Formats: sequence, C-alpha cells, structure tokens
Amino acid sequence: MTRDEFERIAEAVLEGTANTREREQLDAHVASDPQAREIWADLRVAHVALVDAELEPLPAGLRGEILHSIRFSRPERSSWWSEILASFRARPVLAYGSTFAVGLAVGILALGAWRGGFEAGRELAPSTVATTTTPEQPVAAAPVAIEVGGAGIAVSTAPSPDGANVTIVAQQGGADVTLAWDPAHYDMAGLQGGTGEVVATESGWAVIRMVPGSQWNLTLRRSAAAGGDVRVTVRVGNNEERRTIRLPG
Amino acid sequence: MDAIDEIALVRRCQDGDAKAFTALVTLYERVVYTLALRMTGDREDARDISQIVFMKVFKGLSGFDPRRRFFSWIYRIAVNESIDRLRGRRPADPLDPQLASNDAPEAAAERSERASQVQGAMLDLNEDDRQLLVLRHWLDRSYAEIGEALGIQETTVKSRLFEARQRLGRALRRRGVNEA
Repeated sequence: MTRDEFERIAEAVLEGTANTREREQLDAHVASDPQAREIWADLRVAHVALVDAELEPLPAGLRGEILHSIRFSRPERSSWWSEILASFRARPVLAYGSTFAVGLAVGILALGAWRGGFEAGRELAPSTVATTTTPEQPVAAAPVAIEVGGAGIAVSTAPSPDGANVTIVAQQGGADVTLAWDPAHYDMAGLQGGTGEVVATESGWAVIRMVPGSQWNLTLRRSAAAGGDVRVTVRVGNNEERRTIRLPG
Repeated sequence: MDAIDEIALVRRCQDGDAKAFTALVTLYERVVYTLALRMTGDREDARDISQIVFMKVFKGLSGFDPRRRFFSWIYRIAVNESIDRLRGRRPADPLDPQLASNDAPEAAAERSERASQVQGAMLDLNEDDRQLLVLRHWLDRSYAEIGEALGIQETTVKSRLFEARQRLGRALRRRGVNEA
C-alpha cells in the first residue's frame, strides 16, 4: 500500500466512510508493517480525543468587552469618512450642488478612502495594541477599589432576596465602567444612578460612564444556581484595569 | 449565514451601521475566542486577543474588500495576534495546559482530565499543526475553507492534517493517553 492510499483509507475508516474491503486492506497493512501500526495507533488516539474535545463556553461578558473597547477606539479616518457620507445622506442637496463642488468632494472622498484604507491596513500589524491593560487579578471578594488613570472606582456587593446588588462609586475622577456577568446565572433587574450615563446594556453586560462622585447600583436577579462572578473593567483613556469579584449567595 | 448575507453584513458595517458590527461580533466571537484559546492555551490571553482582533477588524473594515472571504481575513488577524502573544511570552512563563479543568464538578473530573491532556498535547505541537487541527476540529471548517485561510491547496490540507493528527496522537500517547 502506498503512503497516499494509506492516508486515504485511514481517514475513511476513522470517519466511518470506508467500505469492508478498505477496512480489510487497512487491517492487513497495519498487521504487516510495524511503522504503519504505530501511525495507525497515533491516529486512533488523536481521533478519539478530537471527537471528545468540547468547545469551551465563551467567557461571560466577552461581547460587551469587545463592543466597549471598540466604542472608545474609533478610527479617525473612517469616522471622518463616515461622517461626510452621513452628511450627504442627511442633506442630499449637498450632493446635487455645482459640478465643481461635487467633483471636488468626490476627489477628497476618494483620497480619504484611500488614506483610510492605508491606515486600516497598517493597523493590521500584529504589534499594534491601543490599550494598556494590567494583568488580571484573581477573583476577589468585595469591596474592591480599582485605580486607573487617576480615577478611583469602588465596587461593593450585597446579597438580596433573589440575587445580588452591585454598587459602583466613582470616588475620584471619572471612568467608563463595564460590568459583565454570566447571563445564564443572572438577569439584570435594574441599573440606577445619579449622575453619569448608561452607555449600553445587553444581556450579560452594561457599560456606565461614571463622572466624579457618581454612584450606580446594579440589581441582578438570580436565574440559576447560586454563585457566579461579576467582571468589572474600568477604562480611562487607553488604560484599563479589570477585576473579577465573587457575587454573594 | 451564507456568503451573500455575510457580504451584505460587512458592507453595512463599512457604512457605519453599529448593529451590523454587533452582529458580526456575535457571528465571529466564538471563532476568534476558540482559535486564540487553542493557540495560546490561556483563557485570559484568548479574551484579550478577542478584543484586539475585533478592534483591528473595526479599524481595518474600511479597507477590506467584501469580495474576499471575511472568515479568511479575520482568521489571519486572530492567528497573527495569537502567535504574537505566544512569542511575547517570556520563556519562563508556563503555558496553561489545564484548560477546562478549573471549577469542574467532581462528576466531570475525568472528562476535564482528558480535556487538559488534549490541550497539553496541542501545546506540544508546532503552530502550523495547531492551526490545522483547530480549523478542522473545533471550528468545523471544510478542506476548501482551510486551504483558503492558510493559502494552500486542498490536497495539501488533507495531507498536512493527516500528519498533524498523527503528531497529536503521539503527543497524547506520550502523556499516557490511549484509546478509551
């Protein structure tokens, strides 16, 4: 049996698509060739392991963190491009101006698009990292104080009859705070605060823009077994700090 | 989602549609996270890499040609970022071969042990082998898609996968894993 035939038949046998004759061919080859026997043993072990291997669940709040980080790192060139396009859409009269004006605008846009593309291409260099993130700390019990970029954010938790409450206070400076939890364990029952604003919320995460002195309360209603964590990311400019805090209960 | 829907989604993203970008993240977060996790063997690295990859996708979208396959593009970014992260590790930094073993309930201990052994064996392989196995077995990609993502012929994909599986099997057997 040639190497190519061996590969093809071995693959077919492992995937369950081989016919009886192919199976017999493989058995005979493996029985007569010690090297093929070794390879076949390796392949069978790998096959069983790969079939058994499961996908890891996605970490709680991953999508929120991704969208949050993008929200605060908009590319200048493409924003400029998008804004101009948007203004054309909103006020079509601009697009129907004099031939000279349109020609000039198209020229500028083409240049902008080309430069935007160039910049974007350069961004794909693997060493470009916009954000400075400190190493993740182990899971902590509340209260926790997080300091980053001149801001000081205090996070405390308390049990409630049907879940947990998380309180976030901007003790010093302002920051964008992302709270992420496992939506399989908790639903958000409320998010109240005095000053600042809720930038975005979705199942499993919320982003709050904290101003100095502001306090926000997140109410989580338990929907599964007790336990779980809340992951807090505090971002100031290009600096961010993360903590994972054990929820009570 | 078929290729035409995906092209439409990418075009909407290029037009600045935030909802479309959220949909793109939803569609690809598992691909990026799984790839990064299996390449680096570290959950925190995979998490960071996922953020960086989507940031780069966002910044690079204006220059992306929608006639190209989006998967191949985001895959390249994710794999480069993962390799970059691995090479940035100090030699003394141990890789984490204990994936899927933390917080595992007792009943799942055996399964968790097997998962750890598989991840440990994956980390024994070179980056090319790891990429092939992740694409085929965790991301469920066809030979054609793998060939396109890696820039190689479909027949080459099959033969390299065969060798990668063989090396994975050998690494597993060295760790005391046999067929069960």
